Amino acid sequence: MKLLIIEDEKYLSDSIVNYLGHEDYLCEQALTFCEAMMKVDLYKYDCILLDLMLPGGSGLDVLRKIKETSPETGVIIVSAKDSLDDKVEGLKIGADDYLAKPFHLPELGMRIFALIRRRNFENNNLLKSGSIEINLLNKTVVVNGVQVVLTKSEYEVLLFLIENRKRVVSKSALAEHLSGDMADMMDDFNFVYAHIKNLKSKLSAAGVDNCIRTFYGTGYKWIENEESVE
Amino acid sequence: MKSLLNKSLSQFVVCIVAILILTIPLFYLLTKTYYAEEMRDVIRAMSLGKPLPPLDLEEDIMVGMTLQYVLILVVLSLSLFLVMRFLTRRLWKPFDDTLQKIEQFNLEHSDVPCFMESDIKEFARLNRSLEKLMHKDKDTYNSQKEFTENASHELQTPIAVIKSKLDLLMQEDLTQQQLEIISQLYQTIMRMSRLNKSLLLLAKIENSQFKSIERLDLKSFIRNRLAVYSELYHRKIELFTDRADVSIKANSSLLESLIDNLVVNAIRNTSPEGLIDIILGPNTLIVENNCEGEGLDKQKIFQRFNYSNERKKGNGLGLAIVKAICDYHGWILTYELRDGRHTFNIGF
Repeated sequence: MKLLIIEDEKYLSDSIVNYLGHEDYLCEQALTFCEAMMKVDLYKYDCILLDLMLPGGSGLDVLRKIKETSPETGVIIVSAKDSLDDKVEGLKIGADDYLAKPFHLPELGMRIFALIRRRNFENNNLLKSGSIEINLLNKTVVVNGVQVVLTKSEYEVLLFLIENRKRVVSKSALAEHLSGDMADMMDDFNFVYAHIKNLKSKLSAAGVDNCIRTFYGTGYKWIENEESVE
Repeated sequence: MKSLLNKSLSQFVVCIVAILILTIPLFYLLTKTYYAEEMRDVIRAMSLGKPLPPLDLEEDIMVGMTLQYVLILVVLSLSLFLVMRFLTRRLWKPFDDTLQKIEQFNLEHSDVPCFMESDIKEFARLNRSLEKLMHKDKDTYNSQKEFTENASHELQTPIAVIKSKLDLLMQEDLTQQQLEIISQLYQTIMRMSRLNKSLLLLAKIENSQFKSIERLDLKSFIRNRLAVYSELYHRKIELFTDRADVSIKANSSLLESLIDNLVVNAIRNTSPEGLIDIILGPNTLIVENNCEGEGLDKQKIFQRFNYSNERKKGNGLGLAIVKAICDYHGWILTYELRDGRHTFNIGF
């Protein structure tokens, strides 16, 4: 998988490369408008992260160029401006997703994962991890052939953890993923703990134990059950 | 262009002259019947060769003079009255207009008014300097508004960098102590992030960036939000209403923010057993929760960064956002402590 990260903030761009680099992703960076235009013109990417505010030009122009040269490339707009107009304009030109800064890396990871999956396996709506099978279309979870009934939040937590497997996901990233802007209003993220607890006990009842590792109440990590991986 | 004094003086003079011309017949009559009467008697007697008739010269002069004075006085006061009553009003009309426009001027919402043209020097000067002053005020106000928005935008990227670095740090093999430090850093950066977002939201409301207004059914809107709270926070909130639907005109994302802020504020300040109720009437929305302490200060509660009690919860902007959203839609927001419960009332 080839990714291009068009972001003028070097440190942020490095973080993204570092976080995604462990997967099968091959990440390239473009820090300015000119560099972005050049790379978009010369190479082909599976997915492009695009900051709208670039030194030297507008990200929307880069987006137009991408859609012109390789329309099948997935594009996620990342913007600090969070203005509705930009979002609407971006999606109209053909961006696939929009993420407002500041975001958590696991959130970005999940969006990219989802985008690439949508692009590459159009008919495959099954996500597997060990003995757990998630049907993304009708949002059901099956463990060893038995359906586990999860609440909407528990399902989201499970999906978020699995999509970020091999990574530690912080409680605040989970809180933000679950409640969106409302995470801003709560003082603590203890409600995340409640959902994790319920999810763990439901999975454990279905026969999957120790799949979520807790790091002192700060972060969580999905442990894939190796034996049952196909 | 004339000065105000010259203009009113010249108007006064013109008025006197006009009235004097109009009253010439009166003066003529007066002179004829009093001063000239004796003379005419003498001339008539002399031409007829009769002896002179008895003359009452002094009396005639006295009466004539008195009448003349009275007449002049009447002319003067009449012209003064006319000038004052009608001409002055016309003269001061541009001033009245200016005054009215200043009274209606609102730095936040209205544009700098266009003042009436005036050929009077002082008024033209007044209008010019007022226009200059208002433009300057408006510019300052706008740049201040933009500053909040720009500053918040600029802060988003550094916050994003810190957040991403913390996310990376989490991947390392860390001890419990290090994780605790990271946890605190997370909480701090989240606080900063939400403070920034709230300021940005406030700036956007003030800059009227939420233009799309649609007709919404408040009842189903609240029902949907309540489902979210119950799912996320495992918190049941009752909605009381005897209406089938309550239709209002609002911006949906602002309405969502308004209800979230009010309800999450209530959740945050109520113990898990405490009751939170929403009462929806035809033109009112009430959010109630148990008061577990003293009532809040009605005057200060909607101000930014006003922490009414020692427990510092939230970011001090939640209720300011609620107030700003109500103002934006022209709703009336009030707070009172009723039967030991915090009561927030919105009148549509």
